[in-house]
Amino acid sequence: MGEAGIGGRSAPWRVTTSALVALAFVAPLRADELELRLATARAELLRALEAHADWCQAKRLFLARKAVCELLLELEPEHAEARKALGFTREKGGAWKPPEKPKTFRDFDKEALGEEPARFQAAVAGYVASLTGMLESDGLAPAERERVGRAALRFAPDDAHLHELLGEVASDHGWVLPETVQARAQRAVLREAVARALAEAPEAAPAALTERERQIPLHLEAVATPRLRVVGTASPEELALCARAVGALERFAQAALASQHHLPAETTVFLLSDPGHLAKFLEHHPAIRPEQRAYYQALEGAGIAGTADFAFWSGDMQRRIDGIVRLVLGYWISGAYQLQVDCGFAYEGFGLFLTRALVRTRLTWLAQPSKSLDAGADLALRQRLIDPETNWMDEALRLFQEGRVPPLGALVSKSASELSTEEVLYSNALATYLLEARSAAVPRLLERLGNGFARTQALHEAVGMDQDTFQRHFRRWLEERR
Amino acid sequence: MKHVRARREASAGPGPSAARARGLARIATVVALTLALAAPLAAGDGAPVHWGARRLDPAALPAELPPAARAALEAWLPWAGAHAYRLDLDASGRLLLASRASNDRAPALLALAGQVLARFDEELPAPAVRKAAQDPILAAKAPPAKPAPAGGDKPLPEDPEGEGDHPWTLAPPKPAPVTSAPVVVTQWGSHGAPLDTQTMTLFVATDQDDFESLLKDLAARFTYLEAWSKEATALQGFVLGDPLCAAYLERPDGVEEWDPEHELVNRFARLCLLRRFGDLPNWLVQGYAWHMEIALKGAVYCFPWRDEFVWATEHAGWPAAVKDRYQKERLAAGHFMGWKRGKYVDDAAKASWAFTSYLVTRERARLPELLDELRVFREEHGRIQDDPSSWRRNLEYEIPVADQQALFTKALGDGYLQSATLYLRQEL
Repeated sequence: MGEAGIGGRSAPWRVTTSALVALAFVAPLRADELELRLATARAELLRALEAHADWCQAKRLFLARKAVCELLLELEPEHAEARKALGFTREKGGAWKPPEKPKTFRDFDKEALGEEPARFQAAVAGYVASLTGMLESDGLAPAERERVGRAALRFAPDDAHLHELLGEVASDHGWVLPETVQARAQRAVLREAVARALAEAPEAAPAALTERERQIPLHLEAVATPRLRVVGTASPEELALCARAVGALERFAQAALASQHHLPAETTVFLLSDPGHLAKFLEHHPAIRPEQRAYYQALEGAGIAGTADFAFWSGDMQRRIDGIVRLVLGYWISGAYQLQVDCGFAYEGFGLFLTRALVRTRLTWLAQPSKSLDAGADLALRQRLIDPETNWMDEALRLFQEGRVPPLGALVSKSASELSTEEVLYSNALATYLLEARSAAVPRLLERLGNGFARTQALHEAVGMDQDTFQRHFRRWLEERR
Repeated sequence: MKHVRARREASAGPGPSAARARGLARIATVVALTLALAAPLAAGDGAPVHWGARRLDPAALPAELPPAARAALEAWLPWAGAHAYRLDLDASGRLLLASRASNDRAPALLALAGQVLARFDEELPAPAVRKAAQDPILAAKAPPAKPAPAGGDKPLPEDPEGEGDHPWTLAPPKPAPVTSAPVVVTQWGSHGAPLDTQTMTLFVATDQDDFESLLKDLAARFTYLEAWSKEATALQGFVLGDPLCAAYLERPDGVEEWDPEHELVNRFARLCLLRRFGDLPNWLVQGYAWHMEIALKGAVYCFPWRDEFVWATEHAGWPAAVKDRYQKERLAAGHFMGWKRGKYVDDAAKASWAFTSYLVTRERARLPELLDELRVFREEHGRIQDDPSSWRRNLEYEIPVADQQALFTKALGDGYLQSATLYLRQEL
């Protein structure tokens, strides 16, 4: 570094900095004030690092000095002394030219080397303290807190006070969001709720067809529990499995969404093992008018309007049971919280999460083509999402990484049929976050959404932060969900 | 002046109601239907069966019978037996003609169909190399490569702590294996059978009862035809691509101007087009059918979707009418390429016939590849993607005029409409 060394800035700056720090404790910071304070703290950090570099030079700790110089360059790319120390030379035009052969650095004073880490920490301590002070002042906007906190944690990654100021909690996996810890505990609760719901679901027994079922000229069989009938051309095993799923669904939904709402006692599920059975079913179901048949024919399954009947006639056993669970769940949610398909993110998100939690499949969802992907990429994403081995949480994280996160304001305004592929994916992840990490807020959120409360406001209320902050938070929660 | 009563027509597809009914004719479902629609052959049905000059024993069909012909025979023997029909298979096994057993004109009808087939083979042979429509991504033979996990070395788990001993007993589905194995067709009906391999079935229904019984039978075999079949009882005939069959009434009630031989020629020509080239633009299908009628019978008697007075001179008057019109103006793509199914438009009909005749006469060598291009374009663009796992054909799809023009220009050169105009003026 030579005799001049890296240090040598004027002392009055330090006085000014101290004064600003003192002021900051008494009033929220304006944006320009924050920038000024950060610049001042950074200048102080530079001086401290320059002084530390000088000490390393004096102690012949050249490798340690190199690391300090690289840090200086990162903080101030035009730092001339740091560049020179790293072997850069200045060309005529003023540009810095890197050394043609990288310089080799070594530390010689072993005793001083043992002392170096503590001295380095002492050098950055003032900077960390300044930033900590800013965080303690409570006058920072969430994004600013995040920025200041991350800058401080770089030099004090294990500073518990800093982590606490950032709202983080200690866990087996280091400092994480409180929701990460909460979600881990809540997942165990949900798993237990699923197990209990399935265990307590009443056993279905073979039952005689009712008069209206006999009117349908198909080879129907029926099973029943005290409050549910499952009728169809599907195998008896499938009818019984479906009865178990629907019986458990009600219990699970009651536990997960904190409502004691019940399905109607006369709930009936029709399972048709062949789409070819549909025409006769539509023709002879007493609640289906002739002019409605074409509508139903274009679907894979449906709730029968004006009844507590649900029917599914497409796909295999898993597809039919998954479809029925989604249909009945939608009906239950609409009864418990008046939440309809017009609130797409909640209807799809909660529906997908709860269905998968209960019957381990996620086969029933529709989406419009993506707005941000071309047709090929959109189809590729859809193809990935229908692959049962694809991990939807990982795909949701990818949305963040690739800058394709749906804007929340637009998302919450859409109906289920308007959601794009990415929005369905995001809605599933969002519902997962809400049910795992904010479970206490979910019933009120659903009430708000069902009652026509402004959706963005309801969501804001549930997560307790503005949209931008939430998106950052949500991404971090996803990353920590391992 | 003669009057043709409401001539109700269905061709190449069951139309909008059936399109809706087929909303669920998804990929997987089609496979399921293929398995489900097997029509058992009732032994001793008693329908006379002929293959060319040979009389066959329905209970012991010969081993050398082509598989598609066998499938068609086995599919329709019960119905034919129940309705006292005979089944006549042409020597090549490409056409199965079903007509009332007491109708001694069956050999003559088969001979007439043979003329259609011979002319069709001569005019529109199969392309030397067929183009393949690009699959939608979901059906792609090679699935797109999976991106690296967003979560780093391994994907973020759905269940970070594992599912534990999940009490739901039905295991999640395994990923569907992707295969490019060819479709094996063992049942009558299209079911994805390759072009030019099916046996066309042509029903000559003696009366309304037989016609309705036939529709009922079709609806029972192909559930997506159920809604359409009910409306079709009011028709006097139909041509379907899937299943590949056509029918017409020999003597429809109340229709004055009706020539069953023209019906056979016209409908069978359309069936031939469907078999070899799949779905083509409406103008081309109708135009070619009229071309065949005029070529073999010297007149036009089939007027799909037409319900108006027909001048007696009109049947044989199309060449003169077209020639007269195009003395004064130039043929334009818009005169015929935008003509859609469902409505008879006289100018478009005549222009369609005239341009098709030009194509067959002057551009015959380029036609097979061009028709193959049209088919591929329609296959690739006439799809509706319902959800990530399924798509269906848009039965209402018509290739836009601009795209048709581009394809024709590419195949025939810039001046093809000018050349066609000169042909219409001087050689028609």
